[in-house]
Amino acid sequence: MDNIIETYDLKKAYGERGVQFNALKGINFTVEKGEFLGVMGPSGSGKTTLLNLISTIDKQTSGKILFDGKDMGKINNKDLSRFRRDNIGFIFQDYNLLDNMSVEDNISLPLALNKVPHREIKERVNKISSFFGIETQLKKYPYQLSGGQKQRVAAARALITSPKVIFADEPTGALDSKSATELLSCLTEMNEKFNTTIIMVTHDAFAASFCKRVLFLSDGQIHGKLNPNSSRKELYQRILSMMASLGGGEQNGLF
Amino acid sequence: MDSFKLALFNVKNNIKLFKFNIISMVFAIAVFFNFFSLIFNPSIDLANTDKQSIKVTLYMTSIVLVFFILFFILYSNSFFLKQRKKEIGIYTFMGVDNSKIAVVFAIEEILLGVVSLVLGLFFGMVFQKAFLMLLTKIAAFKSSVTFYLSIKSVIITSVVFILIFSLAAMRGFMTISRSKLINLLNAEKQEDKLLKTRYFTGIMAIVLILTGYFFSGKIFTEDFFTNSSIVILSIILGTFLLFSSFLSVVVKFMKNSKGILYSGTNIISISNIAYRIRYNYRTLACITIIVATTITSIGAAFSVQHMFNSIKRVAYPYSFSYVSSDSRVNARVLDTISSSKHKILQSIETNYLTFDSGDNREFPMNHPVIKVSDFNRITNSLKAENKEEIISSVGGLQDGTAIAVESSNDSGFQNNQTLNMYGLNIKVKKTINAPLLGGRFQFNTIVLTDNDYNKFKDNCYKLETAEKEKIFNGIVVSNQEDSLELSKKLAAIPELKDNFTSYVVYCNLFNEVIGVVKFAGMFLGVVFMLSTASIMYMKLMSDAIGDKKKYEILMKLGISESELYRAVSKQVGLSYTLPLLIGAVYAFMGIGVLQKFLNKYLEISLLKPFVVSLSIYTIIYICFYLLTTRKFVDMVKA
Repeated sequence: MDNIIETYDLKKAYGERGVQFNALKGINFTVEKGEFLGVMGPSGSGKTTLLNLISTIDKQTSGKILFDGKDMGKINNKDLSRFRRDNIGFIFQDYNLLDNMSVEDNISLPLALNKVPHREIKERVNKISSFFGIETQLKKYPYQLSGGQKQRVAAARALITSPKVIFADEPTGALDSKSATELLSCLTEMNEKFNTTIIMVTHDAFAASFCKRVLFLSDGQIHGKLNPNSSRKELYQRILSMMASLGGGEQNGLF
Repeated sequence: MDSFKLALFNVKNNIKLFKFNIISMVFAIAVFFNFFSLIFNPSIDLANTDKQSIKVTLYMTSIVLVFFILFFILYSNSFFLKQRKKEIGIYTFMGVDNSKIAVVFAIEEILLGVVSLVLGLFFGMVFQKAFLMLLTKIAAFKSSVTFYLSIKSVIITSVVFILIFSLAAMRGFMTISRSKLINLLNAEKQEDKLLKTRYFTGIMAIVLILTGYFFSGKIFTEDFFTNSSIVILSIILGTFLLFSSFLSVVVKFMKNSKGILYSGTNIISISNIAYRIRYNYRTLACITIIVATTITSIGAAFSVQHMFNSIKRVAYPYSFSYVSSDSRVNARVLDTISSSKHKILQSIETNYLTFDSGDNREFPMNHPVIKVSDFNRITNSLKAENKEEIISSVGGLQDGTAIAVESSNDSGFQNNQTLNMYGLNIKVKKTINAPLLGGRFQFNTIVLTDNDYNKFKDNCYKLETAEKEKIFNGIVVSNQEDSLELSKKLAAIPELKDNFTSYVVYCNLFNEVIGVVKFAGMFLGVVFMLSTASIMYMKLMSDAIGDKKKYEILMKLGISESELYRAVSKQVGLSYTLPLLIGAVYAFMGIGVLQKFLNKYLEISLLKPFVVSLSIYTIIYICFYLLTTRKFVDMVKA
């Protein structure tokens, strides 16, 4: 299978020289097309930094990222936002819906910015909203929705451009367990049905158990990987023990 | 921290928002101070007693200024309160009671006021020299006005503005101490609900504005006060309703027609506009009214100049004129002129009689009466532009009829009105506008056939109370604009005392008055402009603060910098375009009414002053627009 993302010795440092803080200390990994990858780790382990780098929101200090074979460092700033809009979908913990737009407009936003004809937009919005079970909410505004509904709207917005990769940053962080399960099932279905690559950052073992593969980050480095070869329940148990070992300071994990 | 320190801290923290506000107030105070310094300036007093009208102009302008500043301060005051409702809510939440918070905010208001006042007075004094220079430049002031530090003006300025600021502080105090915690905390949510579309209100708005326009036609023909009040009230109310309804209908339409909405950055700007329209429409309506007022007044000020220029030719056709049949006086006048650097270009002498129409019992209404042959002779030698037309309009005058030549102060005769001229019945065929004897006569000149003139002359000599025939002398000299020196010498001839009219004296006086009108109008315009800018600035900056989060999301989703700029441009652009557009329409209507009124008396077009003032406004507006857009983008990106 092709790799959609490859990183080589990815490093990120914050702050001035002298008081530097290294958030990432050389990360190497690959993501295959159609994968559902989980990135886990305790707070401050560099999960979000990693996500920001590979989603082009932030720039690495050194190292290389290949996105679908293209070197991201070589795309200039001007084209970067366009690149992001066309290739990447985002789902954030706090939804990041625009509360002055209706659900319909929120989902249409990326297409509208790309000047897709509005009839086509309408068609695609209808299709995707029925997939996420929000077709009756289209005329409502975000403040009239529950957290779970909002996150599904955000997922619909992320998916509508048919991006190559969807990045989800703690998508279940603000949801109750029922809504979280619903959303995660949606993501799984999306991954299987549309063969969409999903990279999800989470610190919730339950959420991570929906992924096909899980990476563990700690202190800016990859400290373990879990590969799919078991049922979700079993994976959940393995994640828990992995986290326990990380939290306990042991660095040997289950390879 | 005590209340005062807290207030000081708040002012420092919010200086970004207050900045523009302070600049406008400082400027307004400096202008006000200088207007009053000028009123009390002794060098104006000594120069001429006719300067009274200049003082009245300055005085009236100051009053307008005060009312405007009052509005502006109360407006920005309530704006800041709204901005900071949540802040007040948090204080209340922490257990500070309302009145204590109100005290803090009142102190803040007074602090701002004192700072503006002190700065305003300071800059007012520092720039008085420049102010006076502008006065001599713009107002073409011939007499020198010297620097004068007026303690009276300092006191008046301080008292007036301290009163205004106390009023604002008191109002703020009342608002806060009466407000409820739940409303304070939910302030933002309440504000940003979408505006409902109200078709009925929209129709009402149009009806009100049309009513205003209808009554504006009556301002000059019927009761001025009633009609102008109706116009002002209905236009202001109509504008507010228009913005509250019409705008929401348009925005809703744009939001619902996905073809418009889903086209590039439109989706961002339209959504942002729709989101805040409920609160913003009031600001837009205010600005519309200010724009309309400013453009109309600039146009009106221009028209005064215009009007004077066209009146001048008719009202002052002679460099000097006097009434005398004494040949010694005439000789002295000629001597005086020939000993000056001016040459006599024309000298006109004509006999005239005086007719008191008796319409007013308080004072005589003395109409000069002349022969049609004299009329033709004078018209020919005065070389008026429309000489042929004037002469032909009098041609074929028959016995028993007359033509009236209009004077500036006379409402005139009705056409075909019959006059009983001391026993002689004369029908006035029409009233025309032509240079003849000039503005020294207040009432219309009556032109009779030579025959009738002689009959009337007989009647005059029979009637004891009637004035007898006199000789009018008019002289045109070369270089008359520059003949003040000569004019003074001639006025010194004892026989000409109270009987001497001089072109240059009146021109100078008019020019000075018009100059001061323009001068005061200009400063008023700048104050209006600055305050519109600062209202706009406050509004857009608070919008920017509110939109920051939205634009952050958009940047994450991948909108480029140029798209961001485009979205903001459109969003900000609406706030500038709409008031300017609608304000320009109002001003156009207003100036149209003025022109219609003026055209009854003289042929002038106010289109040019309208276009000029609108263009100036537009250019400055575009500058503000570019500036605020830039600032807005910086703020949402930061």
